[in-house]
Amino acid sequence: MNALEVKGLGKNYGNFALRNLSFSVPQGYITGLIGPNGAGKSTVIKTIMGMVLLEKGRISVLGQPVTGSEGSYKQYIGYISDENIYYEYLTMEQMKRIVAPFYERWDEALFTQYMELFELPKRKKIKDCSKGMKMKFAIALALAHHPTLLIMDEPTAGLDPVFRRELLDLLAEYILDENNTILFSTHLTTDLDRVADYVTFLNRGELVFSDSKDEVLEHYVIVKGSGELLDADVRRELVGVRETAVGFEALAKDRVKAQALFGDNVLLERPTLEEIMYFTAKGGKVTHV
Amino acid sequence: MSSLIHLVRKDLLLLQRYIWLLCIYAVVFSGFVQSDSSPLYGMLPGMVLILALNADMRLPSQQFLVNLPVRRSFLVLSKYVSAFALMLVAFAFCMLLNAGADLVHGQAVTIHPVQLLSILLTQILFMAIYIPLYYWLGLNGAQYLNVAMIIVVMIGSQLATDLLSREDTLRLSEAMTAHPAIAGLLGVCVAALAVVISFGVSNNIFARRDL
Repeated sequence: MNALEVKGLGKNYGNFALRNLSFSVPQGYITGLIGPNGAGKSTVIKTIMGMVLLEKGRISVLGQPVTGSEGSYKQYIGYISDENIYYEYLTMEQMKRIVAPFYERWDEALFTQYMELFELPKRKKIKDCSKGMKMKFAIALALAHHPTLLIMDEPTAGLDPVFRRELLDLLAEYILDENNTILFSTHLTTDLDRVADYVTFLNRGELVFSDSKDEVLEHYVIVKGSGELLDADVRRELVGVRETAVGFEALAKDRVKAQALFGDNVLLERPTLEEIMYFTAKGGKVTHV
Repeated sequence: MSSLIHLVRKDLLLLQRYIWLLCIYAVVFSGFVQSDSSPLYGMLPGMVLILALNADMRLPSQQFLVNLPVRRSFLVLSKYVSAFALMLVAFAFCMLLNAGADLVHGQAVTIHPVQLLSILLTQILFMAIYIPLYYWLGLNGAQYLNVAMIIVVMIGSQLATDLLSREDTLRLSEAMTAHPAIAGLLGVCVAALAVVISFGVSNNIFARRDL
């Protein structure tokens, strides 16, 4: 079963457009939404949350269709924005008093537990908090109403490595409940290397792939070899190429095909998500070093 | 319905930080300090309306609101309910303040129901015009709108005073005083219709907005 389904999503801003995006987020798993800056990750998340209105396509969350005007499906979503969306001049306690009554499953004890875990002073004004504290507060608010779908837009950007690791542990704990699902947007793919089960990759408003992380990492391959192997036919088989004085490094979509094409003349390596993102974003543009 | 109550409660909480400013403002424009306390009735409820709307017109605040498990139309409706309730409270506060000033100055406290109802209905009409403009212009445009509206209120109260002293207006006023129930009912109906249309327009604007 899918916690989230996106079918044929389209949105045109003139200088940027989301084009016919279709993907799903399986229930009980962590799905990473990756892509370079400006790929459309935040726009997709904002559309799911009803902030950006659908132009084309449809979205359903936990079986409920998403429309711009409807709000009840958000009872089951914990949303964490990449920037502070709370009233800066309120204290965290005042902000909590505003948020809590809207959620049927609000758990005050759980909220207090997170506030203590993150060492957040309830009486501190949000404007006086560091970026890390604001993010921790957003996480505490999002988790305190027992959401079954947690949607996070770049939650680790700008956070120190210690808290990033703590956050990933927290997510791993949250996902232990098989009813819970996480959609995690980031361009810091090392976080996803650790925790993601599925990966959806957007580039320039288009879907590159949406599959299980292991499948993706098995399928794609990094090819390293001598520059003289590169001719026009070979280049066509590569997603992106980086040429150096001593040879080339490239990404191929199909490991089996690459093996057949190059034989033992090249070194084939398992890529990281960052490498897949880098070469795909570069596209056919050859990078010389 | 409970969501509406929570949203109105949120507006009250956000307005708390302006309480002292509003109280000082009210005293300065009241009969305690001014010989003519009429601007207080126009300015204080108007200010309360502007502050209530300004409180969450920033984009991040609107994003926060839209992320709540509430329909967009409820967010707009709650603004009308909050604005109306707060204007009513501000209006009652003006009355109390001026009655207090009259007592302190040794004057008899007089209440003119028709006049007070007229002022209140005018304020509701002001609200009905202001809120859709606010949604349409957004926060940046609304800053200019606020200045324009304050000028309108200040000039408007002077114009209203002049208008009320004209002969034909006096005749109308007399007719209204002669039939207060019908005049009041008519006024309430006009104000209610204006609010309904205003809500429809605001809702339509907000429903189509990307945040």
